[in-house]
Amino acid sequence: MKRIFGVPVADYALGAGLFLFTVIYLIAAYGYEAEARAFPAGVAWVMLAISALDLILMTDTKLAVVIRRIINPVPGAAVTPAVSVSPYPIRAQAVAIVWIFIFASLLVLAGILYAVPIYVFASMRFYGRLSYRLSLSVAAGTILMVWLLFAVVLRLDLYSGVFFADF
Amino acid sequence: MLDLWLSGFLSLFQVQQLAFLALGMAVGLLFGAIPGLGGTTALALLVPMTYGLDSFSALALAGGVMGAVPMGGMITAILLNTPGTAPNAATCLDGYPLAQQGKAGLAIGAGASANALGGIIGTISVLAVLPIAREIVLLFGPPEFFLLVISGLIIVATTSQGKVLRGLLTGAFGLTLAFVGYSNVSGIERFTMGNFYLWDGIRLVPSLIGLFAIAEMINLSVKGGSIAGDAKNVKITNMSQGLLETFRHLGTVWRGSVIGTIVGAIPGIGGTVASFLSYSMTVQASKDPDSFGKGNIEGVIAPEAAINAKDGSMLIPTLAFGIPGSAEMAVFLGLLVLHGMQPGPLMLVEHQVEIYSLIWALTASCVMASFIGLALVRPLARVTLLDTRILVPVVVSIAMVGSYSVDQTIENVIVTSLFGMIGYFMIRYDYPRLPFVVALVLGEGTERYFHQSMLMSDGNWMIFFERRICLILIASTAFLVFLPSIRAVFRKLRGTSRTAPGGRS
Repeated sequence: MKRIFGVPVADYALGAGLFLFTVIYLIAAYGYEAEARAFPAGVAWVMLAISALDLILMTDTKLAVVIRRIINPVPGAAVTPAVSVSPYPIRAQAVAIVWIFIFASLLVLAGILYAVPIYVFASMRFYGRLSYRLSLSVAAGTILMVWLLFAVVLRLDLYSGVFFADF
Repeated sequence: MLDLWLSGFLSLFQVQQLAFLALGMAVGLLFGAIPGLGGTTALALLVPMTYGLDSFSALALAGGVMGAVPMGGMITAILLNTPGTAPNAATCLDGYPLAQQGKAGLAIGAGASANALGGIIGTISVLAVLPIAREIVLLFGPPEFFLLVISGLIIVATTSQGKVLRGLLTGAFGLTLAFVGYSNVSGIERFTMGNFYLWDGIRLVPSLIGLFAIAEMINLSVKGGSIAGDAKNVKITNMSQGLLETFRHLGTVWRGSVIGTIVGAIPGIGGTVASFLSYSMTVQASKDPDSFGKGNIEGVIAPEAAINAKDGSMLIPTLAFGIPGSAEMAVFLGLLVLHGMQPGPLMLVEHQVEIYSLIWALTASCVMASFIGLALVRPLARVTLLDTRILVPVVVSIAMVGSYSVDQTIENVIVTSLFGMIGYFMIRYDYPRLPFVVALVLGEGTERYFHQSMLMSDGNWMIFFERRICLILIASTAFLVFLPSIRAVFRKLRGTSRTAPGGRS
């Protein structure tokens, strides 16, 4: 993988993301009147400075080592870049996240009563590669539990989804 | 005073009151264990049902719920890294690593006994403080509240050993998100991108479910296997070990209970801050701060003691001023009004027996729910052996529906998913989540207290340096921030003095 200042590019992802978020936040903050933006903008400026420093500290440079020693006075701590290389492939991580968003989309579109069993079954059968029988029984058990708890005991209206809103 | 304590105690020990206490405990344990529900939902559900009851039975029921909810929340926090209630999020930090090491029983045992002890210490503190409660709460004005919040944030950020800067960064990130929504200060909505849902700000419970439950489920999904890994690991844990651990760390229990009692008595601060602050102070005070976050039993004891201790003291602002310190207390306030008790200074005079009865009910619930939790350690610990391919979709489903159920808004599900992703990235890239959560909880209040302080002083910043409590807060924060540096210097000096004579140790 390509490296910048001795560190893989992927390891800068969250730090760079936070930096970018802060810049956008600051731009948005200056769209509000002075009183409304005073405190959020103040916090965002501080965050921008910390975020920039964090990005510098991620690098494997002499400057970064010196600063890390100053701000982390714990013996032996933080002399190496504070990044953690995950032992798991990026694809596996992306797939796990995508499953959550698939479920969230299903909930919004199809509602709780359909989305829960479909997600539990699909996740166990196609992602976990478990048997049809086990996947079906756990899916049925989960939706039964959800229905009993939320609809019967708590008397909540279970969201019916965009597709079935009129039913 | 003693006759009032006794009258309150005796009023609880009637068959009907005890039955309602038991019912409240059962509901509290169940609702506490389900992420997204918690004490607020349980109380909201039960309040209308108490209409036909006498006030003592209704208070026994409410006390049962409020005392048992933290125990239920602790169980899932330790076993699944999914805090049943927001304050239990602090328990995840060391409770879950213990479960991963196959020491779930130990953690639950220690947490349960810390819960019970915290509840008892909290009650004793409240009984002592209640007569002078009014004077104490009135000592805090906006500048004190502002500094209390800022101090809490800084202390929490600096407890992230080796990651101080990242602690401050995630704290600032949490603050920026806390400013989303309608601003009570300026009267306009900010950072909502035109989305009406965001006018109320980023809702805490859905975001916490995402940050902890969903993030951990993504993590488990990537790792595979089971939480504890090996069945042999679960067998070696037992509750007596956990109990002993709590009694070995009585100082931690005391510290947590005192923090819980003080923070609980301050309106609007809440149990989440109490538990995280107790955790942070324990890390600061520890001789081995690096072991926290990796399965240090004190990391379970400290927040659990604080959570139950704050339950009692949270009643002080609710009863004495009619200011509910949390959403749960707001619902409880509704129960009081329903039963003809108007919270406020007069309540402390007119309904003293009811108040003491409630405090005893709360304490009894804390202790008894802990015993029930201890009895359930072994069967519950086996949850950690479940295959994650089964566990993940089931927990994700319940967490998402729980998130929706908070106020029956489907947008909550989207917030939960997004925070799940953020939480996972924080785990993956080693950014501490603790300061982020505390900032998210306190952000709105921080801005309000700041503006109120500025109004009081005509924009003069010296208001934060002229008041006695402010100075105490600044001094104690500075001490805690520089404590690691002071320790490092002392360690270095000690090392030098040992090697000085011959240059060798």
